Amino acid sequence: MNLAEGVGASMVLLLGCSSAAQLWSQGLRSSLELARRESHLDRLESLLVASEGTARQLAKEEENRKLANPNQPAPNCQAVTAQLVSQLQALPTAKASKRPATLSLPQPPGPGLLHLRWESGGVQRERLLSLSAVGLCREGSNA
Amino acid sequence: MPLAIGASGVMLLMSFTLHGVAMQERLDVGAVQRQQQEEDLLASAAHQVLSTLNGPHRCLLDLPLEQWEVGGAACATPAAVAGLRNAQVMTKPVRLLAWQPGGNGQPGQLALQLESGRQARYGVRLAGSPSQGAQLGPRLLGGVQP
Repeated sequence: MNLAEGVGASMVLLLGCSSAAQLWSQGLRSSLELARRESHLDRLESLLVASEGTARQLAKEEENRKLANPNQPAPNCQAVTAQLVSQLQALPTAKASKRPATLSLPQPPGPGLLHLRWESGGVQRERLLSLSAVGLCREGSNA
Repeated sequence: MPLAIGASGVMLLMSFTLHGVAMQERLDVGAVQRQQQEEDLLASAAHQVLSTLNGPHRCLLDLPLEQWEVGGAACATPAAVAGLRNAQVMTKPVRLLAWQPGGNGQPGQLALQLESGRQARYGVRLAGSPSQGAQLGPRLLGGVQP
């Protein structure tokens, strides 16, 4: 191998290595970012399921309380909604995770509905929750 | 020289493979996210429809969807029925495909469809009489169908 060939081979190797490293690092970065995104999506899924579960559980507790004390007046819908919202806001801490999540409540499209927007790591999921459809505020007091 | 070209080629090929895998993963995660958004929209639509049925249009709970226009005149105007059949949920159009009140211990059924064609069927429990309202079952009946 003469000098020119040696230099040429080195240049080809250098170019190949540098392009490969660049592609490799891009692919790796992308994979890591996707894994992070996936874990946030999983977190949001579990929070959405837990949100509906919490509302149904509260409805069951209200029902049991009403059966145990039939003479006691039922709490108004606003009080029950406030109780539900505070339980929902406590969900991220109750369901211990390294991924922080926040709940916001945009204006719902109608009475008796809650608009839940969960956000974690820049990813968000949102759902409407009807209080009457989960057994809360059934007496038509959709305040 | 041929060895250098060969080695560079192998390294580039391996990197392209890794890059390709990452691109495929990106597409997969994007598809999962779109699917979840559609599920959220369908579930939200079910809640919104039931909230309306439990509220001002309670007499519709007892009637199958096909009879709403005629039999539901007591509690819902034709415009209200049209609004329920073709609802706007979080700014997206959602079509109410079917409502069956159930009966004889059978749950009611609510079927909805998105603009994309994706559908879902939900079980609905009527609490005694329509005046006591309807509750959405905790699970999908038919699953979300593409």
